[in-house]
Amino acid sequence: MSNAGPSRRYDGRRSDEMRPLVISIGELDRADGSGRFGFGSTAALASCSGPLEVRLNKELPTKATLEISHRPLEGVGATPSRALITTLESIYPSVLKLSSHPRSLIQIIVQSLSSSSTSSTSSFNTYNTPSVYIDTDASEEGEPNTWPKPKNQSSFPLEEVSSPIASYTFASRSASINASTLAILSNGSIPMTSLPISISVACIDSTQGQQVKGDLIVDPTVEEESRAKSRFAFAWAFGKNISMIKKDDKDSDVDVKMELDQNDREDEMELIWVESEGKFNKETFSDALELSKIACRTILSEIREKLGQELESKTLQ
Amino acid sequence: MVREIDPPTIQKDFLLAALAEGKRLDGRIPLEQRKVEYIFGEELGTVECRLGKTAVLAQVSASIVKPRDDRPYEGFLLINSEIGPMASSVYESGRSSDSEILITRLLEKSIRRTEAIDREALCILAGEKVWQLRLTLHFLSDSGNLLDCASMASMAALRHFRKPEVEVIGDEVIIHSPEERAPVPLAIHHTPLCLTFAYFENLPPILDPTHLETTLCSGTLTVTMNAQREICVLSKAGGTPLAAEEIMGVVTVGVERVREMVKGIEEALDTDKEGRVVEVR
Repeated sequence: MSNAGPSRRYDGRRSDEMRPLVISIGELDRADGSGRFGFGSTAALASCSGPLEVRLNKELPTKATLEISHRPLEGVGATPSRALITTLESIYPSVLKLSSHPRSLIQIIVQSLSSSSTSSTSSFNTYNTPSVYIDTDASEEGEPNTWPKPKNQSSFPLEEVSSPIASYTFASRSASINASTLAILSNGSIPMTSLPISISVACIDSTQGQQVKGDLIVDPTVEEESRAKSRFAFAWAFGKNISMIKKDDKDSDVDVKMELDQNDREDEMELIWVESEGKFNKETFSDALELSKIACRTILSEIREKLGQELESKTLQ
Repeated sequence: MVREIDPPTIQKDFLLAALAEGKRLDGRIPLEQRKVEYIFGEELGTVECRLGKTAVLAQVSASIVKPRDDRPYEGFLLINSEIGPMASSVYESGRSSDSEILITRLLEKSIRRTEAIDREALCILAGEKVWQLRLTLHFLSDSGNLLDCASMASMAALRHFRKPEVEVIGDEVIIHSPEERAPVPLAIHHTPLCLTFAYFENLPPILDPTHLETTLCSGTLTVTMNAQREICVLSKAGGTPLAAEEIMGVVTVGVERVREMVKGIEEALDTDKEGRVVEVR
């Protein structure tokens, strides 16, 4: 742990650099849609089937039943698994147009490909979970969610609650979200209003006594997360403007996007989910938020590229 | 409850007509297996096996537990093999279908009951501490013949796995971390692998049926064999009655196939070993 300078990381990445992304779409034969997403070796595989026939007691008359399940790499699902499902259940109902498939079942299964870790039980046992959760439903009509929220809704100085559970690392939670998004995309028959994409950020305490107090690093590894002062995971929902551009002209989509200035680009993404733990102040949080935006855009463009290739190879057959 | 739709009659007729000419829909000859591919995870003991489009992920982990009182020298091998809806939406989580029970039972028989793993070698301190191995199987995609794929994935994972080295000094047990001492492989007696054959009325058997072939066939036969030409498990659960000679014919074919499969696993393991940094000091 000695060589950790202000911007140096074990694997030689820059602080805002992600591990190489592993994206594969539609690799499972018997699921309607599937996707594998990995930040390096921290990976998840998800499948999405539906609309399917729903069991009578779960049938909803006005919309589809969304069933999300998760399987850990080793053993059977326990608390960490349940926590991850709750996360996914808080994200997906708001971005999927479930009302377009009433009385049917949409099944999302997430398979973790990296083991759950006990990183959170190390040095810092203080949690602020769930610190912020912003629902996009409210913003559907009007203005997009903005951060920081008005004071009364801010959840910054929460009392610290200690929690002993071993949970998934933030990177692996992010990978699960991204894999589910890929699976739904690859399914293709469930309308989405926006595309949730997630990234984890960690704040490392630089003990070197440099002027930089806390270094923010994007996509921390397990080790980095375990020695981090605070950890965050953000999910951004990309949508609205993007879908409008797509309608106009599919091919020039990328060019148009480039022309949009920063302000316009802000509008096309909304914060949909945040989880954080450890000690941090407002500045750290806003910095992490900014970093996550950039990282999520990078992920989005990679997903687009992969999806484009996938679709192209399909039309050739 | 999701039910599968029966394949259309025209598809059935086509498949049977092709088989009568000794051809299969994916271009294989009757006794040919689909392409096998092993993808090793970053951690030791994590292997994804792909048999054509069928995919099974096997993962092995170890923990230290107290042995049973009547068997103080024996470690444990637990197999978790629940088929979730990821494999196909006909499988529901929480309730197991008949085919799922059959697969689980056969895996149990062919891996645990054949004593593929030397369970006495898992003993650390008699009556006090033994290793408990947990083999978790994740059925990712069911394109037919999950069982063969699962058995290959399991054996590859068990052979890939390394357990931490332990040292016993008197009553004290020291577990060395991988950084300290290179982890040791499991003691494996043999590599039993399953081979599934599907039978159609008045037609020679086919090896490694796809999903469509499984749905249409009149019966299957699974033999578990090892490279030493031994039959470990033979399972024929219903379906068309078979003559004794036919079973012998299948076994003869199986002997050759299993040898190739074991060789395949060993080659894949060797390739993986070369790319892996194993610290030996």
